[in-house]
Amino acid sequence: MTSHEQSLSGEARLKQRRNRLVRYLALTLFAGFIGGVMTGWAGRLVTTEALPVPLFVGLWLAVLIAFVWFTRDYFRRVDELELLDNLWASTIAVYAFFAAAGSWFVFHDIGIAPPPSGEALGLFTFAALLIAYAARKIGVR
Amino acid sequence: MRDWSQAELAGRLDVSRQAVNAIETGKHDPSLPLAFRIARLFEMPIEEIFHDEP
Repeated sequence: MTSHEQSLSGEARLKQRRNRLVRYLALTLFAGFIGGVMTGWAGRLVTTEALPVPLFVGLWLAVLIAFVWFTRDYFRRVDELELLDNLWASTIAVYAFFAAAGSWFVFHDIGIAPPPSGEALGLFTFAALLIAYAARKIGVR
Repeated sequence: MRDWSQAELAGRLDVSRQAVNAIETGKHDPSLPLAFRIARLFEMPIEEIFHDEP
């Protein structure tokens, strides 16, 4: 914390902290959007053989490293309650995924469900994560 | 203690207002480093602020 920040009131510091986090989130969302567009575009170039596969893999690796780095950096910036909310939501989402995937595979094996779909499981997992996170945010702790 | 709003306290502790609210309402037990920061801020021993619930 700088001496300028220390001279501010707590409320002003909180406002600064919130603004910094919002700017950071906007930057990461923008970077994620650019990364997604670039890998999608590069993927199309690979299918038309306009881009060599090793270059695509290099780009994909760079985007993956950036994703992991930003995630780690975000968790180091937020306070412990936000970190806990994120970790609980992620844990519940992982449990939801394994429960849903396992059940779906069994139901499919015994012939009462269609083949498991990766997209459906991904959406279900993401929905479980959002619901768990929202529940924590409204005070279900 | 002090006549601080949750936002004022949150700013002084470098945490979110929600974190202060969750601690005050007993929905979150602060980590030891945060509990020490709170104790330092209020210039009180940590055990006078936080009590064990048997």
